[in-house]
Amino acid sequence: MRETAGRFILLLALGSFLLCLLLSGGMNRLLSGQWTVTAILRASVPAEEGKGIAGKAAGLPGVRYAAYKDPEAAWKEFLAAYPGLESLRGAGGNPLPGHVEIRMRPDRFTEADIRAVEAALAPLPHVEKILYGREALAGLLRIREWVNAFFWAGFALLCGVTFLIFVLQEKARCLSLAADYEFLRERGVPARSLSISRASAAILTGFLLATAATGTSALLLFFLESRLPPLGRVMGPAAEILTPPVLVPVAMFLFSTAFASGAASSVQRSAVQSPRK
Amino acid sequence: MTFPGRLALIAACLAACLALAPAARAADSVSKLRKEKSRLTEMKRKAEKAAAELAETIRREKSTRSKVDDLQAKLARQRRLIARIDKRLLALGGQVDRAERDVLALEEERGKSQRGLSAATAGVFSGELERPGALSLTASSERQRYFARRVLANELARYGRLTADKEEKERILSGIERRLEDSERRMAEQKKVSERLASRQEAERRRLSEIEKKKKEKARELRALRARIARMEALVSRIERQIRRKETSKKGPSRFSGIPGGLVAPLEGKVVGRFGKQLDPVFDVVVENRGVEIEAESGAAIRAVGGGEVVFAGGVSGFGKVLIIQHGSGLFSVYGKAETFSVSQGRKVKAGEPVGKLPANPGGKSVLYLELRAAGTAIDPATLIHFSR
Repeated sequence: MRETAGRFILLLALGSFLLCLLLSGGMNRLLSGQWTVTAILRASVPAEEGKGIAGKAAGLPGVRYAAYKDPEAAWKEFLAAYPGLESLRGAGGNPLPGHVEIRMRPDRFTEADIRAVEAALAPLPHVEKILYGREALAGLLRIREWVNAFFWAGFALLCGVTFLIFVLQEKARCLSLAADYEFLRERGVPARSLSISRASAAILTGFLLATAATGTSALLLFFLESRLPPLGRVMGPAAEILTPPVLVPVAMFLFSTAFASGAASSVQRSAVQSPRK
Repeated sequence: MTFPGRLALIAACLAACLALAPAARAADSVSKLRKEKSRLTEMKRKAEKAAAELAETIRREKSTRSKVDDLQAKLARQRRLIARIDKRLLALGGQVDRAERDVLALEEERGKSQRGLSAATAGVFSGELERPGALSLTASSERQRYFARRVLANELARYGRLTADKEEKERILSGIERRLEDSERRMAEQKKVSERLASRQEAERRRLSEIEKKKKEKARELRALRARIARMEALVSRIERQIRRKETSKKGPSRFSGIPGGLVAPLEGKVVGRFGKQLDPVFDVVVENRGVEIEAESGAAIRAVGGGEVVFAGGVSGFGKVLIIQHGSGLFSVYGKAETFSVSQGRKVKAGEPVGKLPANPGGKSVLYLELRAAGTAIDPATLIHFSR
């Protein structure tokens, strides 16, 4: 029972880690939430035209969200960034133009996709300038790759540790059940049959445990996001767990866990039986 | 003795002669007549001189009046010009006020802009300093920096525009001030000109009043002289009547029937001065002509209108050379403004005989004065003589 609880906790941690990685894409969601591509419109562009350009931008591949912000919104944003400069508006009126704010999908937050958006919008006569942090983007994307690699490496390490724990658990179990195995062999039960049944049981229990742990992780994420909305902005909405881009890897994880569990059982069984030959 | 005194004495002598010696000889009467006529001639000469002086005075009066009118018109123009300059000065003053207000407003706006720009620059840079780190280099912060740059550039451009506007307004203001100074200087000059014109007008008016005074004196003198001439002519006529009465007592009365050859025109010409009352264009008064003026070719021969004896040939002021022929029957013919006479006093002439000629004139025309006197009274020659034109 204790062994099962331990496995469940391990798998719960792995499942949570995996779901977080899958939902957030590592740093992708954070960056795509923070990073915006801005199409600065010309001063003479009316709001309807701006909205039209925003609609066009929203239809571009890789774009998650595009909205037109009128000059007043731009002025408010400027004042929020640099408070105390209201006097500059005085006689000259609002010097800022409207703009279209574009956010990329986390999975399409790449330099190529951002450049594609720029290439689609820059030729428009109403667009004066495209801002997307050209100088900082490449460096930031490199950092993102390293961080994502680090996360996945951490996940892999955790998987390895879990497998090792599984093996050790199986070893302990084999040692504790060695007399029982010997008794069954003496009564004519073939060792192979014992191994197969033992591995099958390990696969089944592994799968069930992994499913339970991952499901629990998903429920925990739903619960936490309902309590802590900012978590959703970093991790991504828990509802996306039910989408194929998450479900498929999760299913693979479940099967992998089951096979790993079976493999650990088989490996340890062989190890236990070997000295006797 | 004064001139009127002499006249009175002459008249008294004549009257005494006529009254106390009715039987004196005709030669004495003629001699007296000649003497009085010579005095009359002298008086007419003086009257002519007075008339010439009066005419000169009137000409000067007209000239001075014209100058006064001219100065008046110039003064009026000057006043209008000054009024225009004054109006322009007022307008320029208004423009200066407005331009100064504009410059002040621009200066104030520029100061505000400068202060706002300084505050904005400080705010933007302090904001940048407070947000270090890689994540501040996100696109949204880049957009905010872009907004800040744009606002600063806009404010800087506005500041530049305000500075340029202020400089332009100051340039306009200095231009208006220069024009104002020019107008004020011009105003002062025009006022000086007006003062000079006013003083000149005053002087001309004084001169005009003096001329008018002189004119009145001359006119009065001329009227007095003419009155004397009239009286003298009346006296001469009376003497003539006496002489005629004497002749009538000798020969018996007849109405010019005894004039040998009848009466003929003295020359071919046009009557330009008619007998009787006429308006004098120079003095603008009605004068009475006692003869006619006949215009003819310069140098034309003057012929006697009838046969008779030359009783006078000499100069008379106002008439030039004068010839008087006694035709008998109480008729005298008088020829004036001639150049020369070819007959002398006492000579008998026939009707139509040349007695002299008209003077030469650059215009080609000269005038003969012809007067007929019968029974001491001037009669219209046109009633006795047929003039061809």
